[in-house]
Amino acid sequence: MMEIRFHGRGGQGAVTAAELMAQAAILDGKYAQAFPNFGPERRGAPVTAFLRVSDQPIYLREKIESPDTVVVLDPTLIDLVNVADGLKPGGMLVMNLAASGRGALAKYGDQFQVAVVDASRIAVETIGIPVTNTAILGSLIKACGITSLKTMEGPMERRFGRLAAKNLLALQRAFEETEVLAAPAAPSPADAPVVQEPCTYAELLQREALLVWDQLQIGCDIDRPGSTAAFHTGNWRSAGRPFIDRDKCISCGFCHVYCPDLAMNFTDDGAIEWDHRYCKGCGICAEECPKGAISMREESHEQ
Amino acid sequence: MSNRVGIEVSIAVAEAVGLCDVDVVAAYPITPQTHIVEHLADLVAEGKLNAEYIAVESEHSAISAVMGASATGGRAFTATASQGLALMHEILFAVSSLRLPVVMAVANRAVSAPINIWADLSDVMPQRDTGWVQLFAENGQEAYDLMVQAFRLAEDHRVLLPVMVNLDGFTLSHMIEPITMMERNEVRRFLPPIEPARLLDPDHPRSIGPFGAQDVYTEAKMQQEMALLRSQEVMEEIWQDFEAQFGRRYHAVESYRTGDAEVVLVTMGAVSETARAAVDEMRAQGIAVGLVRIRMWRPLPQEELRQALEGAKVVAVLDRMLTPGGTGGPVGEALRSIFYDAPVRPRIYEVVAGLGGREINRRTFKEIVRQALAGQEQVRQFTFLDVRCA
Amino acid sequence: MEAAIDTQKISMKNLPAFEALASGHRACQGCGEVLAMRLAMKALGERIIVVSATGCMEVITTPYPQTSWLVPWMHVAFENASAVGSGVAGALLALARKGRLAGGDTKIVIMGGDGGTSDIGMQSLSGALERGHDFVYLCFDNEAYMNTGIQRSSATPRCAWTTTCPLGEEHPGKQEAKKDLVGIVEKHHIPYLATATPAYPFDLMNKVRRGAQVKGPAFIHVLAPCPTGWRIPTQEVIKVARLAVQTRDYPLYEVVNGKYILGKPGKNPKPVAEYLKAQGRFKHLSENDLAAMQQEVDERFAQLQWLASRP
Ligand SMILES: Cc1ncc(C[n+]2csc(CCOP(=O)(O)OP(=O)(O)O)c2C)c(N)n1
Ligand code: SF4
Ligand code: SF4
Ligand code: SF4
Ligand SMILES: [Mg+2]
Repeated sequence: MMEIRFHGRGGQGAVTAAELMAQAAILDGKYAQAFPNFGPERRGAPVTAFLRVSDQPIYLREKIESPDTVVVLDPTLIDLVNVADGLKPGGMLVMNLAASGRGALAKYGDQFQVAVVDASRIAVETIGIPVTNTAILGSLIKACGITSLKTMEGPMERRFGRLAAKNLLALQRAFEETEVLAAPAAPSPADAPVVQEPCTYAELLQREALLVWDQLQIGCDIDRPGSTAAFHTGNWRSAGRPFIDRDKCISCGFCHVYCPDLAMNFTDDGAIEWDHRYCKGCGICAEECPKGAISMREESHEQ
Repeated sequence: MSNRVGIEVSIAVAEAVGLCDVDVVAAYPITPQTHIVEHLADLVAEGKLNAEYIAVESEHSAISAVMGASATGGRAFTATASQGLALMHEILFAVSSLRLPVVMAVANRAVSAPINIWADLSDVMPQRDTGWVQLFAENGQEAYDLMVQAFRLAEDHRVLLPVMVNLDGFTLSHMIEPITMMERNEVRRFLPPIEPARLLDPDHPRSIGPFGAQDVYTEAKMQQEMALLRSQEVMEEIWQDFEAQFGRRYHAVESYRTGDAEVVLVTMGAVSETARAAVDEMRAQGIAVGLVRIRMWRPLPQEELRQALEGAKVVAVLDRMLTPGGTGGPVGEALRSIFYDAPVRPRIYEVVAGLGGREINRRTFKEIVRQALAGQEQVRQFTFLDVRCA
Repeated sequence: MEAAIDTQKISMKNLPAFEALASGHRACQGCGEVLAMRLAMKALGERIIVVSATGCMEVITTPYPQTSWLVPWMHVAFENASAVGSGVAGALLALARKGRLAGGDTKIVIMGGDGGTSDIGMQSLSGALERGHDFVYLCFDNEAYMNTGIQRSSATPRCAWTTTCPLGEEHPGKQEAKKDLVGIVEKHHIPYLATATPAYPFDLMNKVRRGAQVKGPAFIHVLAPCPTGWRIPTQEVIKVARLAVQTRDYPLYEVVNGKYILGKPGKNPKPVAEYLKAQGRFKHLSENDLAAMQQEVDERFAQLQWLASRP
């Protein structure tokens, strides 16, 4: 059995990618499961989806904790979430990365196999928009097999109708352009990671529980007003951030009024300041600035 | 006993609620609950009760409105029956989960179809698992007393749960009988002013009723369950205080002539008085029969029930609700479950009877006891006692 | 006692610094509904109690153990916010009478989406309006059930795509007209009723304030674009909402004690096609459809003008 975790952002189609792959595997006569990880987060938030494929019937209906393969649809996620979390030593990372961003792979190279492709560019060139969920599957097939490009045609046609041809092209191109980087040498027994003693069920529960039951507020109330401020939605940005041109800005405040996330605020001396912690990158402020003082541009993720 | 009057039980129940100084009543009329809420509306209209009476447009809104009132720090009451209780179902879970101490009277009535306005327990039993404290009155005095006790239990900070007081429709709700009424100052001594554990207050903002995912839901349910279990001890305490002040003693489970009984009847609600009369008559004929009555149904006083029934050879249970396609009525199932692990198990002979207000009288109980002692076969776990067959 | 609601007119110069919502909420990028809610709450200030129906706004603001709310807030279910709010109103009255209210005056704010208001919550809303409790109701209309993934509501406009009025061969998009929720509310003869959209933020805030100042029920209907469900680029959320007004698809007006007051309509309305074509959910519309939609818009607007012309 192969277990795969997909990382994407809400709205990018990570769940669809897992589903399409499962449908293809089932067409091949295999057994497969695809399932999302539902939460309150919305479009733009980092999300995961899961896929299991096996030659034998699958009798598991639990989350995947240590995947064999991890697929990353969105390059901006690599620095934001630990995409290799739980990935088996020597497991496969399938990454959407532009040639210029490959430095990010260094930290994975000696533990995992890496397949890399510029799926965003391929998607723009074939489908017209940077939606990478079909392109990345071409890469996954190149890296792990699982199914064939041919089998993918049926599920893709059913799913995308008129748009299937373009998506199939994206799939094909990603398959061709994927580079599978040399697998790391098998770890010698001496270097083999120490196998962690599985913790007890009770310990596991304790670790996951936010609070034990008798410390919850009566009725599960929340008595910390405004506490979502501790949750930084800045990592939901994937398509650039607003840059303010100070020469053009007249501190009129419209960007502040229109921001759904309170990420454009007045400083004490009346200037407008962008808050990287919360800005989700919607672009409303740039669109609505009466002076054209805001432009949405790509940000470097090293910051 | 100057305060002993002949009064319709519904009116007495409303009077008790009035004596508790409720702040908000929200209700929607349904037979046989109407007299309770009409009388409360009277009390408010005449200025005898300083409360807001919200004439909502449905039971769903009635229970919702008392939630809002309770979360704002008010003492809130509603009453309903049958279809109305069923319509509230969704919200009943929210009241207990949000730990709001509201009190509701239910004038028990059958649920449609066919539409039927008479007493059985098919309205309340499906609400068994909504997390409310559930009490059952046997007579008017009890219904009256339980109302006052219910507010004190609900509002106790060790409990903070909604309490439902059940009284049989018509056979109890519409009966005129002698009831010893309390004085307002006596009630105030027994029931302290409500002290909300938390409330909607702009000076101390909090969020009530949030989105709780997998990482907290279980803990939230555990918190609620522990409070519900605790409510039994607190109720015992309240009953002791009540006895000290008013001289009437209540227990979660009550036994009558069970000492040497071979067969013990188990009942709930207003039919229990008839059962007691039947027991006396059977005793006079030399039949070793006793009666156990369940006053507190949730939380279920398991230990008390086990002790009360331990010595019996046969336990004859009357369930006034059918659990369709199941293993018997709710009371029968509960007793089987209590005794499953016991070293000595009584035989449990269960009947379902009295649906839709079909008459239950002394003959009914005598027949149940006769069948139970005769060791009559039961095809499923119960016998449909009073169904007409060809 | 100090009044709960500030009476000053809001402008950019006179913008309340107060925010009832903190950042870090989980709404989609560019969510027009959370923006509308933020602005409305800004206008209301801190002496409020918010009762919310189930929906996107409830879920995205209270993921346990965090809440975005800085004012007291309560949620029970999808269809009963108006009833819960009625109970809050009853308790505030009773407690005030009995001298058991500590703080100052408090305004009740009840809110719901279009589903929570014009479908499943219609009964409890109508009951609360008829009983005349003192509250302001905010309906954030994004024209579908967004929380459950873009299903049709009675507020979904004719022809629009949703997942339950998909673009089938037989039935492309919603076949029925949008329910006239504002008209229904108007028939309850409440003292204040208005339409608004976050594209006109000061208009929205001032209407919310005006509504909150009347004694009795006030109802603010807010057209709140949902980029996810309307299939629009996030940065265009405000532009699209503005087009709704500029094309007269969504006229801004007030009904004060029964008197219709139409906002400045603008001399040259844009064709409604401009509004519709900006949205993916209408992208299947033919020229015929667009013409029919234009006619509907014109008729609705003429009707409104007639209402506003009455003394
Ligand atoms: C009784 C009931 N039925 C269905 C649901 C599921 N549900 C939750 S929110 C929602 C839709 C909300 O739509 P709307 O009121 O328009 O708010 P939005 O999410 O669009 O802001 C639905 C159908 C529910 N919670 N309760
Ligand atoms: S909208 Fe533009 S001009 Fe106005 S404050 Fe923001 S950046 Fe400056
Ligand atoms: S892009 Fe602008 S409007 Fe959008 S969240 Fe960021 S700061 Fe706010
Ligand atoms: S689905 Fe629409 S209304 Fe809901 S959070 Fe996202 S943008 Fe806002
Ligand atoms: Mg909606």
